[in-house]
Amino acid sequence: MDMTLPAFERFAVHFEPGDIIFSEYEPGDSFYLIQKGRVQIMKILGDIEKTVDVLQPGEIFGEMAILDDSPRSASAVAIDTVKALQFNKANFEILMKGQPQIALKLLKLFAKRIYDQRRRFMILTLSDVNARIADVFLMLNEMGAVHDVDEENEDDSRTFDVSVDDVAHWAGVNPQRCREVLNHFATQRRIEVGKSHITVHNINELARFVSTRRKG
Amino acid sequence: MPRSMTYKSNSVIYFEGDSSNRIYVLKSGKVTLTSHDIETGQEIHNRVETGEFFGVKSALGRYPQEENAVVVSTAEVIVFTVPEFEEFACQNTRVILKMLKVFSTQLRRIHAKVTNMLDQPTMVGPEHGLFQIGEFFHRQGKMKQARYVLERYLEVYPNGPRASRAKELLAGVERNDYLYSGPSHSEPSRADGHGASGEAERPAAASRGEQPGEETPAGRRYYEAVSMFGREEFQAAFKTFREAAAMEDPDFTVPSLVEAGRCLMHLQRHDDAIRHFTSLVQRYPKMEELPRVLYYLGRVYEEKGERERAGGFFKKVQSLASTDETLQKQVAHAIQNL
Repeated sequence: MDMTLPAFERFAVHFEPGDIIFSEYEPGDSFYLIQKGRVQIMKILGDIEKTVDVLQPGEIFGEMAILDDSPRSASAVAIDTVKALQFNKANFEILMKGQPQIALKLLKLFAKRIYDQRRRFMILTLSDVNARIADVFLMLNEMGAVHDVDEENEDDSRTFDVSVDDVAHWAGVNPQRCREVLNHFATQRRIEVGKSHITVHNINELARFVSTRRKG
Repeated sequence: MPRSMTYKSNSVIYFEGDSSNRIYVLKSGKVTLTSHDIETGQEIHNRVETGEFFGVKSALGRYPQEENAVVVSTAEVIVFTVPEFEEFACQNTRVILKMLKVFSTQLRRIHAKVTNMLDQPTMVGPEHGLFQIGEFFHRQGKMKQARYVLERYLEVYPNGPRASRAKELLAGVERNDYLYSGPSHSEPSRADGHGASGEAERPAAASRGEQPGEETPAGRRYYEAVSMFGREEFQAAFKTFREAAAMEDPDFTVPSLVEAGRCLMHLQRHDDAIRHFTSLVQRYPKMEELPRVLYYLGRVYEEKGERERAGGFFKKVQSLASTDETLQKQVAHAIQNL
């Protein structure tokens, strides 16, 4: 996609490393397409900064604000010197006519986000904490977040590049409780917890376990 | 090239769970989309209007179909592959715009549902939230970021309840900027000591040009405790919330007591939590937080396995006029899970 068209230069904005592009809770009406540099998406929870994502050139962020003026749900901070194109309601029409591919990209991003959020909601509706945590692995498996495919592994085994904190975050349980559950699964030989990865020995068995816990 | 297909009555164009790489437009006839509500599990039927696209989200997001598309009376349908649809949409940008509006509404809705379920430790409004972010960066010694957020705060809320505090912090930033402009000044030792003892905060804060006398001591205590809660240090947070409450600052007494009760919940001290919340309701029967406190009582009874009592509290919350929409949803969900 050619983004160097002079017509789009007027939407370019520049940030130095460490600059806040926008802050969580700030009202916003624009979204950004990164052209150069990386952007950290982060949230502040209590006294901790949590990195939600690190975005690369070609990626879009801030898209939640494009059609309404709701507060930003996370902060965006420039990691490197960043150049981005900034679009809002006022110039969105120009974007649509000049570069409908960007709008299409946005549409795909929304579709994926809706699915991810629905899937996450499905996890949170499970009242049994064990099932919630097990369902996180099913979700990661569906997303294709598998570490790598080891030919020697049995077909049902999956390794995920996640930490206990990540799993706790997705399951909406506190990390300590999550660790207890994971340790319990480990003693049952259902999973193996490594430093930066977790291996599920039999993903189908976990799927059966979750489905017995899901109501209706 | 998109092709036209005719489906007979009672046939199925696709099933829920099918992989999807096609997008459809209804040209004539009747098609119904059948799905299940993710909250209630109830079956939902949606009629596709003539000229309407369907199967779009799954195909563009590359995930399985979320509904059954059933033909009610013989239907003619135009079928696009994803690249064909993209080409079509780029020529007809109104289609993209319309879909963006629909998707954005759906995304907002599901996002709100997820947030409600997570039961965040501090549910603050955007005004308070933005201020807290500025305060956070200030505490961390990240003055560049603090300045951006506090300036934005004053721009958006020039007469906000925390505007004068934001101005003070900002003045501090201007005075001490040269001291805290780089990461080497982020004071890791202070951050470590912060959770262990709230007292460690004061000298450090004073040395950065803050004036502790101008912030209410109860407010300071309260936010320290909120941070501890965020770090899941519930025992320390409980103690600190109690201290904040004891200072009898009208703005912070009841919120501190409510949060102290939540610490007891997280510490699994069910009976203490019940006693705490019950006495809170008796002492402050007209407090703004009443619906939320009754909801917490329900939650504690639920955790104790006393479902009937839990249900009683949840129903009470539902019946209160002062229960906000968010809490109504949480309660409805809690009742469903009983």
